[in-house]
Amino acid sequence: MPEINQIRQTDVLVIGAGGAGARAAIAAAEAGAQVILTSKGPLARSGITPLAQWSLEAAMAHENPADSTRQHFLDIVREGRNLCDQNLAEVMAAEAPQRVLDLERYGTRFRKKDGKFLQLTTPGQTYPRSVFLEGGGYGMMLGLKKEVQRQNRIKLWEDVCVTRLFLREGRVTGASVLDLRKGELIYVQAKSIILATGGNEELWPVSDCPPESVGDGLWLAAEIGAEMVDMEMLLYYPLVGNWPLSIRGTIVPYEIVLEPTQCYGKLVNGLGEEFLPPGGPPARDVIIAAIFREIREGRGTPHGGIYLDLARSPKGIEEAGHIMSAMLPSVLQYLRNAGVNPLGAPVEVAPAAHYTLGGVRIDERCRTSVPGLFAAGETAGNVQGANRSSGNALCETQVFGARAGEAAACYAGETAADMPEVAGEAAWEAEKERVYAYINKKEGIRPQEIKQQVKSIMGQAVGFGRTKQGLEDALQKLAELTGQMDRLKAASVLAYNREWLEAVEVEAMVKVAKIVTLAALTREESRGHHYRLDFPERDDCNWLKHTVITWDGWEFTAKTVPVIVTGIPLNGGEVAE
Amino acid sequence: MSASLITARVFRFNPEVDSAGRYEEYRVPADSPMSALEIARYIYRNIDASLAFRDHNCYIGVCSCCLMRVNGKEARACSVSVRPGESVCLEPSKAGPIVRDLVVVMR
Repeated sequence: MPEINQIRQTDVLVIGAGGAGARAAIAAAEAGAQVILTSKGPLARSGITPLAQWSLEAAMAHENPADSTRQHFLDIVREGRNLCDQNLAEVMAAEAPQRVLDLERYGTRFRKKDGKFLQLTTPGQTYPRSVFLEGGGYGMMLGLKKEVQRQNRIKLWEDVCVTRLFLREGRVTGASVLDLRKGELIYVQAKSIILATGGNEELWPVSDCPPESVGDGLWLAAEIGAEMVDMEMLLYYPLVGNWPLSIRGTIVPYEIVLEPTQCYGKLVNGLGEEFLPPGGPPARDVIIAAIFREIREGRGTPHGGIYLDLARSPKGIEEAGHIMSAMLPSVLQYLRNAGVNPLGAPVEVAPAAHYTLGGVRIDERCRTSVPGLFAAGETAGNVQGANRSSGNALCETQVFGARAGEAAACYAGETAADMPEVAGEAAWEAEKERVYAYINKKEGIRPQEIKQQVKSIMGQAVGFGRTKQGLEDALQKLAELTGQMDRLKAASVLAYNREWLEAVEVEAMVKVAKIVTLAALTREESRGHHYRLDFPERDDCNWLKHTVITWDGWEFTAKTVPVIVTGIPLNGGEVAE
Repeated sequence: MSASLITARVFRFNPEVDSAGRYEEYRVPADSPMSALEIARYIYRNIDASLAFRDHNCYIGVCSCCLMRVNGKEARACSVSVRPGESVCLEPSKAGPIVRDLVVVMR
């Protein structure tokens, strides 16, 4: 693969090289486009995809022939609490099986049984549908990496951060890219741009995602006027390592450790009491609500979590331990390396921000409301709805990554036959000045201080259980933070400056936090992973709608649009099958 | 050495401006064991904002983005535990050319 020196022009610029970005780059290259694929870190070792677990949903019907893409479609809509745009859900279900075969062809390894795909059930599936990725999300990325490297039309550009997108006559023309290795801002002319930058989990105090998951890619879209949909929907993962700090952020799969047919461990509060109903773990949102209640009412652990206690398994600690070793060897090893032994003592865990269901609004071709701008994967917003089952996130990356790549290549070839004009010199100079200013100040505020304040505000008022008053206070505090932005200062070094990246990120983070808070204020009901204490019921009469937040250059505006209904009539909220 | 400290010797090198690397010593407060990656993070957040290192990615020790030499041996820094009272040496991995300090180009 060619080394990169100076990049100036491309047909398709793909921002983000996780599951969706890598798949989009491959599709665009196959369609004949020249592609630049950017990543904040090394391919397959950065972004959110590598931490994903084994499950990818696709109606292969190998485990159970009764399954079908139609059933997958029904499950997506029902699990999405009817908030999915059905045209997108239908496409996702229909194309997932083919995308699994693509991955296998690229070199991704799946667990097989007698030559067929092993498929296991995760909660929310009518039939066992999740294929088993060897190595989880990281394993999926290894196959995609091989194919990316094989495709001659893809130029991979690692350790870079896109700071801004530019428009000319209403359509995208290019991007400014901070090359972190060199400490240089470079202009890239692009006929089309695909955003595949993941989610914004790091807005909250604890997430299981890498530190760079602040949603700055979402701000790239919002800043140029793209509609942002259902940004209030935040999916927590119930059990994530909380203490000691060496295990904070590590997913502890409750589907194994609490499941009666697996470890059958128990959750225990700070007083030593079990607080879930007896038997197997309830639905994800019920577990999360129960854990937050214990913590909020003062029965948490010293560090704000609860305990996972395998010793209380009715199967006994030895058997529970054997199962954990067999099913979760990496997690067990990692915990042990950190001096934590789940087989010897209770482990301190807590829910953490895991997946953001909303994002940039797209159609079936991944087009956003800005001509030439496409979005795919977690970055796109109206596919999953208000909740999703395990395995549909990776599924989304492959289906819509492929669609975005193909659509962007098509747009580049037909609509934008000539390379678009470079952004106005004034806009480019302004961006250079803005970005270099962070490292040229003698004194100021460190980005991590602002980051901690954002996390504190969001954790306090925009987490699990929201109220109008709390959300309005949060907006006020975020507005005050905005006033401190011009004092942001990073360390003064050009080559690989982490703090410089953090400065760029935190400025976007505050904007995305506002979008999320405004969306949470807008939706006056509770549905899936948005819970309003002042509107605790689901309201299908008034709220089969998306919240849509748009930036007009001066301020954010909020509106609602109806959910797109195609194959599944929603009669007063009931899914008609 | 105090039991509640970890002494970290860290290789610092900016190929753009330095003719050679040097080792800086940092004292990191520690009441309980910390991973080598936690130590790098602590230094960056509290002592020296110019330290270049690759932070956490997968949080389960599989992706190797934190690969570096810990006490002379190639290892995932997130999975090596250092106890209070111990000292640790952090150097860049030999897997690729040095970008700066502990960051190398990864293949």
